[in-house]
Amino acid sequence: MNRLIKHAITASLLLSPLAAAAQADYPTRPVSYILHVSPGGATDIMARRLSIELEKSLKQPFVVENVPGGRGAAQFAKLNSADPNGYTIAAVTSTHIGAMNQTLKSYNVDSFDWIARLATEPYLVVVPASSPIKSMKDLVEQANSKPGSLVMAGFVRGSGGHFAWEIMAKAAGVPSANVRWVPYDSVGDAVTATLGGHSGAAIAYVDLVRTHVESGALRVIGIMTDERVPQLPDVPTLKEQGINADTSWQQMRGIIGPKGMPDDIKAKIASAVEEALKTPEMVAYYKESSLLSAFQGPADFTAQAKKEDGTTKALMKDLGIK
Amino acid sequence: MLQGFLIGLEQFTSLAVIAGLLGGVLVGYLVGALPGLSAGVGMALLIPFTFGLDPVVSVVMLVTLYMGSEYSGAIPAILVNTPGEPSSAVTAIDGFPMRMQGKAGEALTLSILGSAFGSILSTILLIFSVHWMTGFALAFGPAEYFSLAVLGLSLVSTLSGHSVVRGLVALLFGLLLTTIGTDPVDGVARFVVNDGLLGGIPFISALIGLFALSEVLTMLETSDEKPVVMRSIDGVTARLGILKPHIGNLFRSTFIGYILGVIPGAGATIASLTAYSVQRRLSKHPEQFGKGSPEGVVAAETANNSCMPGALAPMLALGIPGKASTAVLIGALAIQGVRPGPLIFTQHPEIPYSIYIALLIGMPFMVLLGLWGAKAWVKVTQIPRPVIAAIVCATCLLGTFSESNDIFSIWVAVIFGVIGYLMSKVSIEPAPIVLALVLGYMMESNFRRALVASGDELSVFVMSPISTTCLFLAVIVFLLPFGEIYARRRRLRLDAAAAVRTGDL
Repeated sequence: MNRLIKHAITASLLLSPLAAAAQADYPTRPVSYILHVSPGGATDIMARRLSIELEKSLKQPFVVENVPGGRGAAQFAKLNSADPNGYTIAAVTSTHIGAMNQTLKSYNVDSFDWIARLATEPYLVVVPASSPIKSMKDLVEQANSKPGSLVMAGFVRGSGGHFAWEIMAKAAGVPSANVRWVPYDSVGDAVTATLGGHSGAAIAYVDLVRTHVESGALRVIGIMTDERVPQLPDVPTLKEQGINADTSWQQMRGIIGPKGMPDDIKAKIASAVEEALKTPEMVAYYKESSLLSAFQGPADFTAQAKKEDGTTKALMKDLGIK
Repeated sequence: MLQGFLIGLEQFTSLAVIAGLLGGVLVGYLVGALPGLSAGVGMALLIPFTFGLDPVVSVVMLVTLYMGSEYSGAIPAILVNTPGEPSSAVTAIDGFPMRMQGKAGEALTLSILGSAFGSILSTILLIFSVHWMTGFALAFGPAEYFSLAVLGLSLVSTLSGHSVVRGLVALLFGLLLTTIGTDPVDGVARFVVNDGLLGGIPFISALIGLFALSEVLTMLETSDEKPVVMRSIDGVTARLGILKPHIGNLFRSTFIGYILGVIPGAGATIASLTAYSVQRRLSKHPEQFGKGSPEGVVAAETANNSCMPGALAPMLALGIPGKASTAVLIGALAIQGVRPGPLIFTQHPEIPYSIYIALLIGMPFMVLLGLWGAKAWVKVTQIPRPVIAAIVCATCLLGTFSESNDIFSIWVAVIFGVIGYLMSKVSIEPAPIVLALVLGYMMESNFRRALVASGDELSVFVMSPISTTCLFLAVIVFLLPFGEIYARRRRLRLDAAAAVRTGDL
């Protein structure tokens, strides 16, 4: 037994310079980039765009692999069983943090290494153009004067958008029970329902409502950011309207890896990502998709994920969501 | 509109666009024929290649791929009872019995011609009604979707072969299966024994199992059977001639397919099932349905191909992705900086109009490929059954895996294969299960959404004209076969009574 350990130690001592060398010239073979979504959607296209830029700078292909099973479960399982050597990374969004607290409780923020944050999308409140609600003040007034009369559409209870609404409702003094939250299968479906007048308002993102705002079918009455966004210059922030909601609560997109990745590999990926986001192609893509550039390296991103996890847990407790 | 067409036609003077068109048709033909590899996934696989292309080339290629695959899903459905696309499961109901009777050539020819008719007429409907249809697509809210799903489920009585009770058993089994997965309102996991089930039972895997793998098991049982002699149909006029008895069916099925295509979230499978049921109800020979009725093949194929242009209406005019394939199209356009929506007709008229023209001129190529292909495909039926069984099994499992990149989906397909096999032993058909899997979630989630929005007022379901009409039709459609059974029994009883009386005399 002792001998075995001795051998193992010798072997690892002999191999460690090799391992270090391997890390220094990482990547030497293709990297697989696992997504939790089917091909074609916004997250998928962003990953494919990014992988082109990463391939240019790191000289190895980043192979996008769609593993959409079980609402993220299959992606987590695959990532969890991969070697933490930098050759398997995965897409992450705020929805994952929600899932870790609801359906995928066998994972938590510490189950993975947080490598880089890519972008954020702020939440906004949108109403049909024909609605009498012209501002957040009107919305608060209707919600509080006639409880139950306002129907708010969005993604499932416990999702980022739902919590965004609860955060702003609390800041605006609207009791949670006054507004009926109707969960749709996607934020896009919620916007469609609002377009059709089946819902009085919705919580959505800039990208999903822009064309309808331009065509005059929908009106955005407030956006949860510190400053106005360039795509919707006429839309006042919630702060301007006197609602002090936590503007750091935004839908995030990033990259994670299996637990225990070497720090230098994480740093290498993160700096390649940071550079990629500055290329004209990615800048144009961000502008077109109404994404906010919000790069964070491993340390900041880990802290941010923990903060979001904490906010999620607190909100779930408040709202009685299990 | 005329100016739009000129802009669209102008695009087709480019060699790249023509190449995109032909490439799209060919790839679509192959993608559709491969079970498990659905149109949406096939299109998505092409997306990385469109990054450097002109927006018109990429959209023409993707749209013709979509069109081609909606047709060619019928080929494996007819030849080996394996739907190449989910919607061609309905084609298999009659297409496969036709093949067993040695009419594979006729079934394949009917399916391509029906598809072509549906696609072209539906594209014309799209061109003239795209703006008008947006209002219709938006009229569907939770209450309307619930009632539409109920109407769809009521079709079970026409889909269940000759035993309504067996059909109901299959339907209820399917509905029970849809309770597995994440709760649509509270987000809580229900009956999720494996994390892979959080998104519900993977539909394509289940479909592959129920149809293809169960057929493989049946094939192994009868491997010593002599192959049936096949004949294909020769001569273009003879081929066109076989559509003649189906004119009414073609128009009806196209219309049904187009309307259900427009409604976001309905889709080709529901369109095929509906057109099939309607045809069966109106047919002079309803007893042939399920046993190799050419009418069934025509209805199913016409409807699923006419659904596709319908789905483009809300996608183009509103930017709403009604189904997986149109979502991919929106994604592909977004990459190019074009966003479908109300402004596309003024900002980028070349996109919608080149789509129209691609659909109209792509179809003749599709027909040529299909007719030529039908002759070649018929030969598949001469391959010994054990060999076919092995090939079908392998391609199906590969197709299932390619959709999810997850081994779990293969297990689901295998389990459903066994379920399908056992059910065929007790003469329960898989169609009602498919109906339930497609509509069960839509019914439940929208029922609960409507109730949350209305504060638990059930009256919300009869407040809108669309919803009320759907529910009313559902009751009628559901009760009709029971009425027929009652009438038949009564007639028998009267006959018996008459016999007794004459006996008395």
